[in-house]
Amino acid sequence: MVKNLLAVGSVFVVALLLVGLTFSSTVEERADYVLINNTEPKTLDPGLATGQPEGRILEAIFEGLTYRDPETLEPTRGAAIKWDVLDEGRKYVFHMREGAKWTNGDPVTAHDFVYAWKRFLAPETAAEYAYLLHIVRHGEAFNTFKGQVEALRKDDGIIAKWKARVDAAKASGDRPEKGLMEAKAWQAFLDENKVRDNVIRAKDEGLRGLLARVDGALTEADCATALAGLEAEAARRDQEHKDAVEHLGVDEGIWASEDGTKLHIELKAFTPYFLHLTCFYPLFPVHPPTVEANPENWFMPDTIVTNGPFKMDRWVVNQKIRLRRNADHWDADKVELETVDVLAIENRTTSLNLYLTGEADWLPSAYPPELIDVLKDRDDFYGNQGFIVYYYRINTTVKGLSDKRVRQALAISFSRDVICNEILRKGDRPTSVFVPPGVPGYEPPDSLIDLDNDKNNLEANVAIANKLLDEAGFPKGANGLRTGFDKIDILHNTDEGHKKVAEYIAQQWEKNLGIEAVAINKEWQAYIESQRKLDYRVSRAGWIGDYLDPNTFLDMWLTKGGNNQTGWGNPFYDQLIEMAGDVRIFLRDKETVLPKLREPDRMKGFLEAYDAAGGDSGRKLDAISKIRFHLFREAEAILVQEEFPVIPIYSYQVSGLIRGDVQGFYFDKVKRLDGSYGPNLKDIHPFRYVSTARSRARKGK
Amino acid sequence: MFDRFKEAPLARTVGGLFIALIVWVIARGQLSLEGALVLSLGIGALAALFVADILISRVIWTVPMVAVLIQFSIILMFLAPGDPFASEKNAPEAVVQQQKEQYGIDPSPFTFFGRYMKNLIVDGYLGPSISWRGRSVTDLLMPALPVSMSLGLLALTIASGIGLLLGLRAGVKPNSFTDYSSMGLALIGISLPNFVIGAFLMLMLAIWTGWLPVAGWGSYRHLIMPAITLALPFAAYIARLARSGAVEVMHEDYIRTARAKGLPEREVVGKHAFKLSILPVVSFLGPGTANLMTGSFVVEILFGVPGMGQYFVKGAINRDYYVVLGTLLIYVFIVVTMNLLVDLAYSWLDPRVRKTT
Repeated sequence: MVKNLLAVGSVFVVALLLVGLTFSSTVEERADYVLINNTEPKTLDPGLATGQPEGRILEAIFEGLTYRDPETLEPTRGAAIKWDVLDEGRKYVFHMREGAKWTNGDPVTAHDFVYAWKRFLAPETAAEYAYLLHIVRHGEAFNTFKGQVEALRKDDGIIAKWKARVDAAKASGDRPEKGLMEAKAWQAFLDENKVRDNVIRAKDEGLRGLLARVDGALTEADCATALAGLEAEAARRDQEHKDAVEHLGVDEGIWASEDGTKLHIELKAFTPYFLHLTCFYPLFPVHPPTVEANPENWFMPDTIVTNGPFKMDRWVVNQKIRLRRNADHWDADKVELETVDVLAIENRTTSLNLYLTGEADWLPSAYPPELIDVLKDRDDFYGNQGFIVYYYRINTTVKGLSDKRVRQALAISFSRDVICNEILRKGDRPTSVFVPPGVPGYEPPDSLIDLDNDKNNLEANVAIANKLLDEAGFPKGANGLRTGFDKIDILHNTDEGHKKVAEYIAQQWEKNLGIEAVAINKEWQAYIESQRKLDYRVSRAGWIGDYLDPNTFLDMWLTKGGNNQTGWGNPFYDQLIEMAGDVRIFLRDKETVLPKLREPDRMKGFLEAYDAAGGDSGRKLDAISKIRFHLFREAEAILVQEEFPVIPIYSYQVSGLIRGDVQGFYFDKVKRLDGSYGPNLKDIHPFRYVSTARSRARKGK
Repeated sequence: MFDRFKEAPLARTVGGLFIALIVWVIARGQLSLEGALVLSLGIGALAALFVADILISRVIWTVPMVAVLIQFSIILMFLAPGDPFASEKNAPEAVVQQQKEQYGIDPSPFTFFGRYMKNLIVDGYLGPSISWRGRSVTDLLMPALPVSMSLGLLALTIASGIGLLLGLRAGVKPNSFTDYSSMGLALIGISLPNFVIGAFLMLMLAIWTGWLPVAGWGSYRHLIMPAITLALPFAAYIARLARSGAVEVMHEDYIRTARAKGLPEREVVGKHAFKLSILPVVSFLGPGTANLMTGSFVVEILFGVPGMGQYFVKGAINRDYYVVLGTLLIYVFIVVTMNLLVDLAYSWLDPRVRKTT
């Protein structure tokens, strides 16, 4: 037996040695600054990355035309030293910084940006964020039109299928009373073949009218109009795509001066947030020869070439990425940290333990949520309001929920205050609108949801809600339940917090309104698919703003938009969003639009300011911004005063822990341009100018 | 000298070819075309001529079984809701189509199977990872596999050491205090889930005392907590199996004979009873070792170990088809190998098995 245990012992020793081999040969010292990044980055290709963990690293190793000032988060001169804004905000000329270099010594030129942005927009790249550059002239055509033309024109494409469909309808004797085909069949055809995706923002008037046709029947003439419309859209898109291919990067949209010192950008319309996009990682430059050499994985440590204040030193998958100060960077003198470790730790308990034992300096929001009560009183805890909304989608295509009075009733008959302050207790704020508060200059509309009642006098809201349901034709039966109303399943992805909220709301709806409701959970992928297929009644969701502008929250509710997933649509809403995208359209059509607005007087004020601005381009842009925000406000009012395809519940708090010796970390406030302070909505904390006790000690400070 | 081959030429040829195929698939990714070809055919031929029957018959069964398993898994993956490109943000149709083409995701599970097998057999290529861009499945699993295997081996030795000691002591004197105390410990080990054991160890050894680092990989100090956490439930399992084995064996005639001829108790147990007592343990070790060596999601996530256990879970959650199939292949390979070793160990430990084969 001793012999046998000896054998086990020797295997033990062998195993021990084998494990040792998997340790990397160099044992490293702790970095100057260690942050816990929650998860392993999925890619470090700026054009393809989509998440915050990736963003934290990319903003350190790359530099866009601008970078974020850590204190104000405003775009500051980066790879571009200055820029001119021309043509009422529709054209930018960036002057490149002399002496900005790639880590291999090459200069950073305007050509690199042209290359990076064209690549970002190229359909072959399949960049998820490519829509961000649809605001650039030719951007959308270059990115999506080729695929759309193909889908429309190919042998078994939409046009061919439509012809066949019409022929079949003609041959069949089973016609509706007036016309050739039921509008329902037409709509089914549109959905089945994803026609709307391929003629998005159609210009052909005939087709536009037919896309909105849901009742009645299509005549033979309508069918021909549809065919002509589809063919016209295909021809237009084909032409615009050809133009884009010919001119984008050469002399229109995005192009560089011959010597690479100037970058010209033409926007489709004045877009106030465009400059902010230039410090957002999808628009960072890439080094063309590096990408060409290894298109799939050029961002691996041995090939990557970057232009930021830090460079990648080592990447140990599922463990950490070590960054090192880039001594050749133009701003290197102001960078204090020599090394930064970005840890890929997913377990929240482990993350907190690493922080508590001093092995990490910054823990962004990755602590166990149940410990919030203990943590929030610590000196090193910070929390601030985030640009994230927690809301419920309503499937507006099912019986009962298709009536907006029912949706209004559902929206106002539970207490957001109870959810935030009694159930979740993680510092979130109840909200009555969809765009989280804090976008400078944007004033949200009034809402049917009365937050004051919500907190102190829910009965008042419930009384209104019950009246709405009575009017909608769902009277209370003898058993206290609404007759003719199916049970509501509240779908949520598997998570303790979502479950608690869903159960509370279900119980409130049942108690306050007499509508049976129950929370059901699905695994992430199944949950996403159910929403996409409209296979739900009410579903929990969250949305994080991509950039500081209401558009990032409001353009998702366009009719049949990819992220809409409620079946809801409203032509006037679509028109408002389109006009906000290009205020010139509003200025052109203002006479017909003004009477339809809820607050026309407010808008008239802004229009007067615009007219009064005359040739002063600064005042003019300011007036356009105000008009634009008011268009968004009108659009949002449709959502939260009347239609409620979604029920906003709360806006998130983002929080974390930061060690006391870290300097240059502006945790809960952002200094605005006018000197006031606002929330750090996107929870971005660049560490470019951060210093720690460790880095200061090394430098002898 | 070719007796073995002459006895069953057909089976041996097929077996040899299959072995050559396995070697080819593994070697193709690492060596040049010629190198891999020579190596695999050489090993296949040698195996066909000389290797034990048991290996040949195993391989003949295993290779088609793996193919069926892959096809079956692909069907299941395709049936599961969602796909690798699903995200909360709905990407435009054109982008999704482009991505699907880029990653060779066919709409049909059968053509996908064909394409996958072609890549696997012709190029020894396990495919790209879809969620970790720019890396192939091999890039992901190659560094992770040795970490998990060596950590698993370490945990296995700890588990066997503790488990056998406890189990045999208990089994030799059933219903004694030693028995109850050992089995009590084992019960705790089995009942406690390893995230509880792990968190408790972390609290004691890292937070309160500060002796060990909380998480990470790179020194022997990082090993202790994950190895113990992995080992304890297995130790408990082994202890219970060893006890039941020992209890049974101690009633056998040959033990009575050994005692009757006056052998000291230590020798009766250590020399005669030991081998047969651990038979149940050995049959458990096959799948058990395979589990330990392919890593544990919980332990890896808790202690920040860069092993391959997490790819089983994340691959499935992300619907990263190629990662799922890659982990499946490795798991199958290890399970089959371990079961083969177990069978060989059986014939060495138990004379009765040897006679019948």
